[in-house]
Amino acid sequence: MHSSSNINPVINELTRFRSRKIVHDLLALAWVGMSVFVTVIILLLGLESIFWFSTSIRYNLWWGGLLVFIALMFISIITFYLIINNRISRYSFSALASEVGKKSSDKPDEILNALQLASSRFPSTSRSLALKYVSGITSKLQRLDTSSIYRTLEHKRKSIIFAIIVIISLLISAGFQQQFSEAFKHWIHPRTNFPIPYPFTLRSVTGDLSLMGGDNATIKFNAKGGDPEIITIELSSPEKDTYLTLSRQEGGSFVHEMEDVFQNIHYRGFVQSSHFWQPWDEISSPTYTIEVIDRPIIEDFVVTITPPDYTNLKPVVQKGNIAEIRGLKGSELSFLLKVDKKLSRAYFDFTPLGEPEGIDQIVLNINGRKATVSFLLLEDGTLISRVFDRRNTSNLDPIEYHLMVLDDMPPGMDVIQPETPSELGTDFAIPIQLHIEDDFGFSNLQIVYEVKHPDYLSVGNSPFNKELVNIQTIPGLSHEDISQEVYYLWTVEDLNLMPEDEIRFHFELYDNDTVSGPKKAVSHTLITRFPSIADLFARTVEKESEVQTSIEEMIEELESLDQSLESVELDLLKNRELNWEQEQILKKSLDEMREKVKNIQDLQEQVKDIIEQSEKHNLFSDELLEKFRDLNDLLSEIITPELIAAMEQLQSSMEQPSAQDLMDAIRDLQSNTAAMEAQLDRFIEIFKRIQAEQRIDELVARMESLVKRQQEIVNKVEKDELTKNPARLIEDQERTQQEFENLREAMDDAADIISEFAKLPGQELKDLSQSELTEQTSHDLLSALESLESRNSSMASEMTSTSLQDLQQMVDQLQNIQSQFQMQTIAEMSREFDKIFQNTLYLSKHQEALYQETSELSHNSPRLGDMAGSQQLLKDQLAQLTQSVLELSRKTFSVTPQMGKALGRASAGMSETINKLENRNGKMAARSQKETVGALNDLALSTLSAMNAMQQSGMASGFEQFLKRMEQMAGQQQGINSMTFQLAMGQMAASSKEGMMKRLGQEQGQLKKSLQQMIREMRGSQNAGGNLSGIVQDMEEVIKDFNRRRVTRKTIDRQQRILSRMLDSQKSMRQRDLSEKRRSFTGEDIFRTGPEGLPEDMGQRRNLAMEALNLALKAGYPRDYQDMIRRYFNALAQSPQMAPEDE
Amino acid sequence: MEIKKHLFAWITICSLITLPVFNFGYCQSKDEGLTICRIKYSGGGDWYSDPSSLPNLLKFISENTHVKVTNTEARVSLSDEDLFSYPYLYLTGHGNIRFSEREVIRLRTYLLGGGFLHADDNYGMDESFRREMKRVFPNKDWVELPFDHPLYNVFYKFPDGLPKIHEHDEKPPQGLGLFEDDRLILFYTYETDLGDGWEDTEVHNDPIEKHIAALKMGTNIFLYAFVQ
Repeated sequence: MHSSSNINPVINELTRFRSRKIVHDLLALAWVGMSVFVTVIILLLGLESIFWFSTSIRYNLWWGGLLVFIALMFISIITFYLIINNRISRYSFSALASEVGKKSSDKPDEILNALQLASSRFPSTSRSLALKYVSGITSKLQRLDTSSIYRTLEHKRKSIIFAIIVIISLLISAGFQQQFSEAFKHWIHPRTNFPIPYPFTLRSVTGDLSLMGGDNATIKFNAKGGDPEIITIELSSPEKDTYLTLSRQEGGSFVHEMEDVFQNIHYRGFVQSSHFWQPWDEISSPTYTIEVIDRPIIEDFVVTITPPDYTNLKPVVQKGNIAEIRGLKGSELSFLLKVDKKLSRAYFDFTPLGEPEGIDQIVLNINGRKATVSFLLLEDGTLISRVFDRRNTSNLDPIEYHLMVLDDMPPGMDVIQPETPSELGTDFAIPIQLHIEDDFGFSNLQIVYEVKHPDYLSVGNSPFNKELVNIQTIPGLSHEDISQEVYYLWTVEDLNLMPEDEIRFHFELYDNDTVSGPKKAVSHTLITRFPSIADLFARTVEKESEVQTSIEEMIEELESLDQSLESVELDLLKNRELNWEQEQILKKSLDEMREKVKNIQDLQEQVKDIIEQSEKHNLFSDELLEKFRDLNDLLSEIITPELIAAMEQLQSSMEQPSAQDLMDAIRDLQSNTAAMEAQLDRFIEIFKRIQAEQRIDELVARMESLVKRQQEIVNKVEKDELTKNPARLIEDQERTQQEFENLREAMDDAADIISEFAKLPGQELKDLSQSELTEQTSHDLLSALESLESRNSSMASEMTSTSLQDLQQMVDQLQNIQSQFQMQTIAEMSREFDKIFQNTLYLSKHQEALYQETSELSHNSPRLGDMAGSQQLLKDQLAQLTQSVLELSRKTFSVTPQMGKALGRASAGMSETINKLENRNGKMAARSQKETVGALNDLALSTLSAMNAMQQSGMASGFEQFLKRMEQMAGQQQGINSMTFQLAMGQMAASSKEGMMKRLGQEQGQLKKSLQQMIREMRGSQNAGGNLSGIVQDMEEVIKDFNRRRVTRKTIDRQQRILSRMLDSQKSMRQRDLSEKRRSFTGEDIFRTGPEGLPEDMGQRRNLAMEALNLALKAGYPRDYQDMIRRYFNALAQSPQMAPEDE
Repeated sequence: MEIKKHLFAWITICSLITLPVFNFGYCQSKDEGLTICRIKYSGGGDWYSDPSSLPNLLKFISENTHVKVTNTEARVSLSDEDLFSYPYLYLTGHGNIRFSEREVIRLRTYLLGGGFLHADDNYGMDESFRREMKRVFPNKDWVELPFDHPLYNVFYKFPDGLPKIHEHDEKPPQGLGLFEDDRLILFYTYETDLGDGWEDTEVHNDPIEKHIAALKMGTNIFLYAFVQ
């Protein structure tokens, strides 16, 4: 405590003023405090009424207020203490002094001065003054009223403000009385929770739900007490929370649809406050629950598809994620379902395709959580599975499976052989090659056929005119191989076909489908014809005339081509330059030549075709066939390398036109085309000759065929077929008779053709066609037919036999004419060869003499000129000889290239000789002459060799043909012997004896002629053997006996001897052949490196297309893909590029 | 009585003489063992050529190997029923060969069924033979056997392949084969003329070495056909 207060009177006085100031300030503070207090109160009430503070805020504010109050108290105490202790400047005596001084005196500092004086303990200098001063001031202070200094009016403003605040507060309170009173209640109960008044409540009309998994749910909220426009719903599932905004609908509800509810969901609806002054944040409904009850779920769905047994396919297991179940009709479908709950029942709803109403229920077998069933797949449809758990809850949205029935594809078949139409060969066999395929296998393959006879046969009631369909199974079919080649040789010999009959057939292939029944593939209808010999020959003649016409046209075109080339050559000579028009002519000529080359190749194919057909049907003899082959070789020799080179030369000369080169090229081409023309001419000449020979062959072959057929008729009559099957016999005889008439006409035509080359045989053929024998044969055949038609067995037997003999005689006659023709041709050729040979010898001799003369002459001898003249003479003669050889080459193939070469050398030698002689070079000339002599000698040898070869070939290939003819004659002799024996034994009726003897005599005579002919042919040949002449003599004796109508034991013995000698001659020929030495040349060993090894495929060409097809089919593609694959490969195989080429 | 005695003696003596003869003949007529069967064909070619070739070859095989063979060849055409009785066929000739359709099928069946054919070009049959074989086996190509093939080494060694017996077209000899899987079903000797080499030496007057070489090669072919 400051002691100065006691000492300092000023301070004492100021203490009074201080107290007053404190009161003054307290008052002011009070007014302010109360204003603030009221304001705070109103504020708190207002805020509470708006915001509805929470208990914690209120409580905290209370505590805050309390703390403030305590703090204020504490501050007040402290302040009071500080004031008392004059620590607060505002209440310091000095401040007071100043303040009082200012307010109470003109001298504001006087009091302060006094105070300071008083405080300073009066200085020693003027203590009294100071004391006086201080006492003065003190007295002043005593007299001064504190209220004059500190006026209460100053607080008036504050009180007014306070009043205003109070009034306003009161007014506010009055206006919001309820809210303020409620707020007041909240403030005086800070720890009481007062519920916020919501403007409305939200409630779910739906409430809690229980539903099945996957069901739909509808949530509906209503607001009570208010009409919010939108509410928010919260959907809480274990996975996520979803918030959705719903708008108010008509009726005031808020609706939300939920589909496919599979999980439990908690939901509530709420509205959040939209303004800050709203005491509530959110108005929420209670939380509700949607409870989902689980349905049974199919965890596993397995179907095993077992195809039918016949397919040999393995079962396929398919999972349930594939909605399509495919299988062949008849497949067994085995289902296995695994469910997550124990089942009470399960079934399939099967709806057949196209029958939505026809739902079948297929009940499954239950075992705990599994269900199984098996059934056959027979039709398309849809399958839906329904499973029920123990609560009878079913599964939801089962998968719809589509059952598809795959069809077993019908088999496929390609007919590779035979072609249609085709012809039967002499073996009566039809080679069959088929390519067949199926998806699973085969059950049967058969041929269905009928025989159709020609229309001209008498109709009647012949069973042969009824069309009977027959079936023949093809053996060797593999039932399991789905793709295979079938080879079968169908022999139709037992169908008793006659010429001009047709077999119409097709193939039927069945697969192995045991469910729907085997499916069938049927090929197109094929026709195989048994051609008559006449047809075959006619066709061959037709082809030959096409070849001939083509060649003749080609010759004409070559001539015209030659003229074009010549005209261009002449123009070039004049102009030395090729113009456009000439160039076009040359180009056209070249194109035509190329065309000719191709035509020649085509002709070769045609001739080859003729040869093949003839071989197949045994139309020609081997010699004739050989000649056709030689003709074909001649065609191939026409296109020479020189011709090709000439064409190329002309082509290149045109590209670099030099007049001289062009002319040379043109001349070269001209000479080659001339050679080609000459060869073609040669071809035509020889071709015509061969055709003539062929006509005779044809007559012989057809007549032999008639003999064979007539023999069969005779045999059938003897076996009493006339009673059993008369119609067939009659038809056979009718055909034979018809064919003989055709042959008569053919003989006439052939005679004219043959006469062109061999007059005598031609005339004989003509005579034969008009002879009594021919007439008799025709008459006998007709009688045979009539006797058969009248069913007269004995007459039929006689007439058919007689007809047979007549025909045999006709054959003999024709064979004789045939031999004559051959021999005449050969004789003519031989004469030509001989002439050439003789001329060559002559030339050679004279050339040698000339050589001798020339070699003796000196270098400058004047006689050299004479030698040249003589040589020229010989050269001219050689030219004539060459022409003879050329002409002969047009008649026969026997003119060899060696002869041509020798001629060429001789001619060149002679030219060289003349040249040397003209140059007076005797020595060189002599040398050339010597070479010429050598060439002429070679020509002579070649000519002789060619002549021998021709004679050998002409005599029917020597050995083999001789044997064949001798065999035939032996057979005929045997027949004659047999009939003679019957005559001698009296086994014939007397009336027929004489006729028979006459006939036998004729036959023996014919046979004798044939034998004599053969002897003539064999004369000089190495192949001649046996005592053939002795046979002839015996034959003559036999003929005499027949003519005398005296057949005795001797006659029979002679005939036996004849036969024995014939057989002996065959044997001796064979033995002779065994010892014949052949010309051959020992080979020299050739050492070389052989092939490295065997190829991988061992030369076995794979059908890549077929392998690729099989690989693709086994790759497991769906059925419709397999069908497309199969069609693709079939189309590929049938395209021209795929056709195999013969090497 | 005397006459009867003499007669009895004569009969006895005659019997004693003739019986062995018959026996001998009977024994000689027995022809047991493997044989080579010559094919008869049509078309004009001389299927019967080189008549002494096969008997000589069979004799050589009999004398130089332990294989029992017949003395004479057999002959059959492809359409004969007993074709399949002969496991080894031989074909030769100078000319044209032509098989009928039936023969084509039978030959194919025969060869695929285990039979073997040796064809020897006697000079002139090459073109027609190849043509006919193409009909029998359209999908097989000729394969030239390498010189180390077992056929050239099975009994006698031929390190340079086929011996050249006779000259044809100045080409090296070739041994061509057709195979079914790994089995050689047909062996065609071309440009060599083994058949001529097997003939009696006086027929062609070839050096004895050629004759022996041909017989040795023929032996190899015969043995290989049975051991492969």
